[in-house]
Amino acid sequence: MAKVKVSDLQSGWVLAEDVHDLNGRFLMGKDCELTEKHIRALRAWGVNSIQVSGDDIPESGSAVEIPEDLLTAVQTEQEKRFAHADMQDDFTKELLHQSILYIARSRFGK
Amino acid sequence: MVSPEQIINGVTQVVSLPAVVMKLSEAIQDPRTSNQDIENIVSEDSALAARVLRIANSAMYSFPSKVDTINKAVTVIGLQQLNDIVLACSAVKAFQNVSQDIVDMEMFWQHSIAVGTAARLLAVQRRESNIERFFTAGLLHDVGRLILLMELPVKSKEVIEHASQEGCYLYHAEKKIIGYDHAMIGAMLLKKWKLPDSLVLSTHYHHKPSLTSQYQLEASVVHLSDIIVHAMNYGSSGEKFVPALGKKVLATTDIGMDVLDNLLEQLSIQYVEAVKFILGDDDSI
Repeated sequence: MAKVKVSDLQSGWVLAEDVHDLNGRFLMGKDCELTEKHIRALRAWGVNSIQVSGDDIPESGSAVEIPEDLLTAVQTEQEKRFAHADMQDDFTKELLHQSILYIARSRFGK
Repeated sequence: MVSPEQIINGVTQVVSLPAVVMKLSEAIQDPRTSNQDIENIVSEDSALAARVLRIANSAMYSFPSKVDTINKAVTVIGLQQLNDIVLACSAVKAFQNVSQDIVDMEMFWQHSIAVGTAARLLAVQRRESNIERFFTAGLLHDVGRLILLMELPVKSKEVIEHASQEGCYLYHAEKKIIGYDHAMIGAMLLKKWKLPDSLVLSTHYHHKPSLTSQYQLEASVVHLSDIIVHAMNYGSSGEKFVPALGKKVLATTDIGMDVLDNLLEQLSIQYVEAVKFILGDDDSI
């Protein structure tokens, strides 16, 4: 099973779980084999990424290697921004962690 | 010391909401109002109507067919929601004459629009009925900062210097140097504009949502959105630090860290579009 962005989906892949739109409306069921039409519908309803069955399907984004020095630089900046935040709090820690990855990835992309 | 009332009186002489906002909220109260009436009111300002349509056609709604009239927009996004979108666009426009020398307005609204977008996404997550109300609340939460910059430019400069020397939050510096903060001043302006209490209180308490008993959810969602947007560094309100998360906020909003991944991704997409549609030039439609 792999988490795949809708933009990376290919027809023939099989859903590993039910898919709902942003408002929680049911769109497609588990085990549905995707066609081009399904993929267009997922895009139209604003779905980001979905779980797909199968062992040989690559996770979206996992192939991108961010250089270590870029990560460290972003981490230093972000820790400064979080100087007054409560770093014992799990949500805050996760937000810091994800923001570092996000910002580093977007700079690396440029 | 200049009293908050004096500041609000000063600012309302320069900044006012366009008549369409009042007309629209009156029309919505009247059960006889038809979609066509709404279209007629909004279309009096053609730039505003075009802006609303661009938003209705954006990824925020991901509506499969094109929304090409206000009449259709009312059907697709709902009357109350449309009202809030009009208010959001009008509020941004109301401040368009603020001098660029005092504040980078582009950066300021980028921050505010990002907070609105995050608040809207959190409201969607919670299956709230009026998600645009959350967008507007996020968009307006920092207007007090613009007011302070406009009315007290010298003091505001001192505030920024003090915060950077001490490494403290701007709103702490505001309280120390001016005597009150942007959250309170912003709420006073929204009240003066006769906007709903949910917007007044979510603005007033966006740093301390647990202090309000009414509309604590709205204030908490704006608080959380502000934190997320500061972490992602979208735009700038002048604040250099990510605000500390209020103790009860996650429980009040029923939001957990499992939503962060998806939320940050949606935010990065929708925020760029919302900025383009709300701040973009009228002729780039």
